[in-house]
Amino acid sequence: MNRPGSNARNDGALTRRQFLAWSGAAAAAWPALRGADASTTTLPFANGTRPLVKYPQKRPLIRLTARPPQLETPFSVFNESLLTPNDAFFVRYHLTNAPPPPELLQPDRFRLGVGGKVTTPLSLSVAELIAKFESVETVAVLQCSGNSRGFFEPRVAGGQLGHGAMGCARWKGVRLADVLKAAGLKPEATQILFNGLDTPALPATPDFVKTLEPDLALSPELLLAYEMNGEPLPWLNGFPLRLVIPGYYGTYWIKQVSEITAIDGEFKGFWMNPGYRIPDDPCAAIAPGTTPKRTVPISRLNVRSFITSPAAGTAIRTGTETRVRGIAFDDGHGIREVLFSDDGGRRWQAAELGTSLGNYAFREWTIPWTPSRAGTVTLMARATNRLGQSQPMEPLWNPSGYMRNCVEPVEVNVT
Amino acid sequence: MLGCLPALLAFGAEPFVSVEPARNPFAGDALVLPAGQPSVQPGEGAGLVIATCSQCHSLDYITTQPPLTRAQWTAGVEKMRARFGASVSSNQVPILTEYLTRAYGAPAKSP
Repeated sequence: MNRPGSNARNDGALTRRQFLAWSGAAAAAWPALRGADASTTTLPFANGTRPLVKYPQKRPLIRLTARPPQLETPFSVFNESLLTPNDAFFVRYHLTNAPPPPELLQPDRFRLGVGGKVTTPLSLSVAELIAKFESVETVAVLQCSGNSRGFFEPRVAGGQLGHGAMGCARWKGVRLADVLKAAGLKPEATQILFNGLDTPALPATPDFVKTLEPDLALSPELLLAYEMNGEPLPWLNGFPLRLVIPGYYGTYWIKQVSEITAIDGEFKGFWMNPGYRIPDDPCAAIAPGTTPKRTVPISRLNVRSFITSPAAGTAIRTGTETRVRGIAFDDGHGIREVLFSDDGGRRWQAAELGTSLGNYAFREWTIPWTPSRAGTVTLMARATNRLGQSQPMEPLWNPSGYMRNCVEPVEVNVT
Repeated sequence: MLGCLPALLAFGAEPFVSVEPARNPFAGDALVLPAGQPSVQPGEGAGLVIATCSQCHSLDYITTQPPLTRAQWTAGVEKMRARFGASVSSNQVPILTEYLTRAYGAPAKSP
């Protein structure tokens, strides 16, 4: 077992047997074997020990819950590649019967229905979608609203996630707008509902349905995606079809999306209200422990950055140049600058930004760093986007544990 | 990967982050979910918690929570009953809340 507070240094560790089994595939890309016990990892907050469990089409991931599955990406994966591998991409379902059983997802069975306030209701297989509409690709970050919830203080109820409920992938699909135009939204349509094939155990449990405003749904950036990083979507990430909404939190990216319904009026479902709401405040924050006066649906990602190397707790020698690197992202305005500090935030210098994979993607940043003094050193990164939005130095708080985006310090041991 | 070479030469350090992810070696896995979930701590009410909560979700929904206050556990039980339609009678609510607070609770204070 790992030491608590070590920022999950054992994450991604593999058993020797697993490692040997995979070594033919891409041994160089896998994380190094670390630690004696590969069956658990410990996230750096109270009650943070989790099993590492292998799911279909996945490498062992940090399991938060089994039924329905919620799996977190070990943080070391974010230092492997800018695009998060499909087999390491996080999983978050809400309803008991999820993911939907494979027999419902077969090509000859699965249909996307488009109905409600439209002139031409549609029912299309994935093959028909691909045949009828132009396919496009976009690289975009998918992040859970509650990513990093486990770091909230005071702690809040909900999925106790580290930083691994995010990922960046190249999504390929047809434009949602093209499909909605083919169906013909009637003028009275005020909201578009999206439902997937996951279902609750009890009839009284609200189905997981999310809504978008027509203006957003008709934006050319939204996709009905059937591929992720050049492969069909993994079962646990929405095979055969999911919604992709670049710049928006994952709660709207409906998996196994099978029903699109245009309605007039306002949808009242649980998962739009009171579920997935944030304080109606520019920072989505209120005083810790208090209750918001007014809430709005969560929507766009805020600015975040992470140091992915060195990992917390790494031993580094004085006088040796090392390359600090990490990732930064926002809701699609694009990252303008990432600043780096090696003294706990007193002095900052600009890091070098890597190649852009698009404004919605993880942006790599790097900076050469030569530690000069021995001891525990606190490294920090702070990103700013093209609007000038940045990251708070101290965490903000809201009762649902959403949208954490403060500077995340990483302590290393300089010897 | 060739694109990484200039960076390697320039800095002599570990390679940059590569852009492309490794191919997924598990694409051919059977689509069967693994079994297994934790149980909850023994104690009065544990049986009711297992029977009630397991109708819809695994017990790690409980065991992975941080120590929560009685108010937080009460709100959780009420959410499951009122919003999610869990079949919990009104005389069972205090049994569930008492067990959860005792087994997975934080000292009483404002959250």
